[in-house]
Amino acid sequence: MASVDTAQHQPTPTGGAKPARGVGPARAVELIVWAWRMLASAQFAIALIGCLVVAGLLAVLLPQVPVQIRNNPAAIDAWLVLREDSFGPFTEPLHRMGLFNVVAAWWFLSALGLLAAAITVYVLDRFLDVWRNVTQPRRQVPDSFFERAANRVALPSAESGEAGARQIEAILSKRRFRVRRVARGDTVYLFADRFAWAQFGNFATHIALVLFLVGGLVSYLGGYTNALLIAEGTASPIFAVSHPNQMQIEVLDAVAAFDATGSPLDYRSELVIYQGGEEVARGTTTVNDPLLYGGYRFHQGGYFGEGAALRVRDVATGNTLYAEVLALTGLVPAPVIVVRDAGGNVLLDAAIVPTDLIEDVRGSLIAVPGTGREFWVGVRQDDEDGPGSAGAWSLVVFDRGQTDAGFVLTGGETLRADGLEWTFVEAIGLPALVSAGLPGDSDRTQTVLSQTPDGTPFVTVLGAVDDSAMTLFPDQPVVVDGREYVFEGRREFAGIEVRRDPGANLIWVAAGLLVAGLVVTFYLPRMRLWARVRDDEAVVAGLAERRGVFQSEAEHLRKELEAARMDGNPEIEMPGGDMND
Amino acid sequence: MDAEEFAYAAFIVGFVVTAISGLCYLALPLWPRVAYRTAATDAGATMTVTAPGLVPGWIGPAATANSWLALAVLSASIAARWVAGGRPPLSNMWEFTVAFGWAILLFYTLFELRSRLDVEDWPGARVVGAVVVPVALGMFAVSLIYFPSDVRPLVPALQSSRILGAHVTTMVLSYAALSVSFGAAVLYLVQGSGARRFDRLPAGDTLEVVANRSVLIGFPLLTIGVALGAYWAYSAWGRYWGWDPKETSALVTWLIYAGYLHARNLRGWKGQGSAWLLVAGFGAVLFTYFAVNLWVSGLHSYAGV
Repeated sequence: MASVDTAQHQPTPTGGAKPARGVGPARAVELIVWAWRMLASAQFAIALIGCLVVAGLLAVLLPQVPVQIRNNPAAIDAWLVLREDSFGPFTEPLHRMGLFNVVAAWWFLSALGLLAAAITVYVLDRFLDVWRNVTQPRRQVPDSFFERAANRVALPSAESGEAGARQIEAILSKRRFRVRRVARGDTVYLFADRFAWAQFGNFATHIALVLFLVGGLVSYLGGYTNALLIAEGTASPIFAVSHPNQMQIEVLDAVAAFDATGSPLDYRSELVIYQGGEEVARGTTTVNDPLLYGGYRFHQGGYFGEGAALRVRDVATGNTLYAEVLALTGLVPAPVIVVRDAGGNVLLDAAIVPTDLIEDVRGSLIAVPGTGREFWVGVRQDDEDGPGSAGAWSLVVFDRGQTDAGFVLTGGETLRADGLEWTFVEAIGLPALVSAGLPGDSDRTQTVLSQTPDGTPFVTVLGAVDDSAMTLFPDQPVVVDGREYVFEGRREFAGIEVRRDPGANLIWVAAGLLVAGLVVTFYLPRMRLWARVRDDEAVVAGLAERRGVFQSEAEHLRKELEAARMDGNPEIEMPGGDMND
Repeated sequence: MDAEEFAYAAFIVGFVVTAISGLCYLALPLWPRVAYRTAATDAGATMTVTAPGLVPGWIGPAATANSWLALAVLSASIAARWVAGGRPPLSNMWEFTVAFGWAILLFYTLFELRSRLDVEDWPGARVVGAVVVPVALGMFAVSLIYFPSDVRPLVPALQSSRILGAHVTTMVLSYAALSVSFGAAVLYLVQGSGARRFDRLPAGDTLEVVANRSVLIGFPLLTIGVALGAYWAYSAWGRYWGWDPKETSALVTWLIYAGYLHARNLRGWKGQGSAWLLVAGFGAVLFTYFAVNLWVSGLHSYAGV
């Protein structure tokens, strides 16, 4: 601090006061040294870890903006409106603080960057010392070390001097120590080192953490993801715009299997990949086994079974006006009813596709077979706890000839009326889609997919012609106003996620390095021993990660020496030859 | 009796034996210190006298024997369920939780076996079982109360038996190892590092060593488990990390134990501070295991119940 003040009041060569320009050189060096020491310190590492723990907990406990909408401000705004039920006026401040998208918040990313910097500084700060310690260990220690070391033990020796030292050396060599021996007069000094290189394990774990962050950055910058929903028998480009690696994916077959409860058992898709107009790959993708080509992975990301293939042809010219496979991602409510006559014979057992909306009732005019009578049948959802709440469904029935004599049934209820027995089985959702582009009288049409009791699918198209409903069965064309409408059948969709991740290999390397580093650091019993062997004594002192390891090693040494003395055979075979200086 | 029924019956037996084992372990530190006896006087009357209450010598061996028996029975239960499902029984909360409790017993019994050999104040270290075995028992109780036990087919994402088995097995084993560190840390906090408050508990230094050794086993396993999970995610979803709540929570757990390993080397944190970190770490384990699966929506939600 003093040097800075002095510098600010030093006269300049031109006679004026030297302007303050931040910190002077000495101060800058101090700051760098201070920052270096701070980044390399364990205290800082713990504080940083603590911050990341808190951030991680926030990311788990607070709702996070879904990944799919993170680049869509309008969708995020809509998502935030829903959060206001829970967070009220704090919603916006929390959003501004990044607490609804913690992992993308500047402060979280800064903490990760700081972590990478701290680890790098730690490694650089310690590496040279450890390198010297491993490659140039201190092989000789003063005699006082053998009197004062915390880890030291006096050992019995069958032999004295050189022979005793060789005896200890042989035992240590068998225990994977590298031993060096130096004689000074009557005293022999031994230096034994085991797994000294294991000190690098600590660096491996820390470098692995930096590699994780680098791998994540590479994935973020160089990765590619695109989710496609492709109908069977159709193809889709991978990239939305022109791209040198442009490819087309064709879905030959999208397969799903379900058990009796409707739980999925299997999803798979038969794919063909084209590039430059030629087939370059073909195969099956499953949830755990993607198809691979050209560095791209084609994952089975989803399945959608409610598609309808529609084709419209101009009858006069034969030209196709429209050919689409519609993904019917919406649902319209439809009542499943059973109508019986007085004798209990079933006249009608079907889900009624709604074509009209009258007030809050969706329904349709139907003819009950064998009666010559027509009824308007619909469903409505009751408000249980006021408007907006989802309640039970009710069936509403009017006899077309007696519109003032309608009745309402709740789910599972049966009623006899005018010689017919009506049962409201349940309300179901039929796959439906409102779309544009279908040739006809209206810009927008609604397509509803249903099936007959024998399982034959059919679609009901609303609004295409005269604002009325048109029912299409598979491959049974309907001609209206010179246009031929054909329902080509039900189609399934495969959700294919195309991914390319150049950072993944770095991640696997980092994971291997991390595990290897931990194993080496935690499990290799590295130890450094010094022994002094004189005629009357042998003392071993050492450095070990854990005191128990030294004691265990010393105990082993003692037992071996005692066994040799009891046997009267001091000659112990030397593995690996002589390693003396 | 088919394999699934046998698995369930064996589980119930294992649960009961674990409860007996847990009671025996709890008796080690909690056995009454004072015994009251009735004695006859010279005058022909009786009087009540007090005597030191000593833990019966058979309690400790009975605790150990029952823990081994429970482990054997539960191993048979898991094996039978494997046969019944035709896959490793590691795919829903019942199976995870039973495996979790089984792994705690496995790790603890092995720890006890090893401790006989090299922990200085054995058999005092056996008291760690008074905390750890009830945790295993709690896992079994939670399974019985909350999760359906029937064998169900796997959803497609879980049909990668080798990676899934390796991922879940390492995670469960790591959690089991960390549960022992939790038990030792709790006893350390009770016992204190300096003066020995309770003579029936191991010395604080011994507990600190036990806790640290457990972390040295549990932390690498946790690391491998998370890495295998990332590899599985890469196979199934095409990305190795997606900040899914389960992933984030597992990372938080990993960070807490990484913090412990750093803190233990600092003078100010060694002892009480480190022990509290281990308690927090195991809290994170349980949070990751139960809370995230059951109450937080994410990609691991299908592994709920």
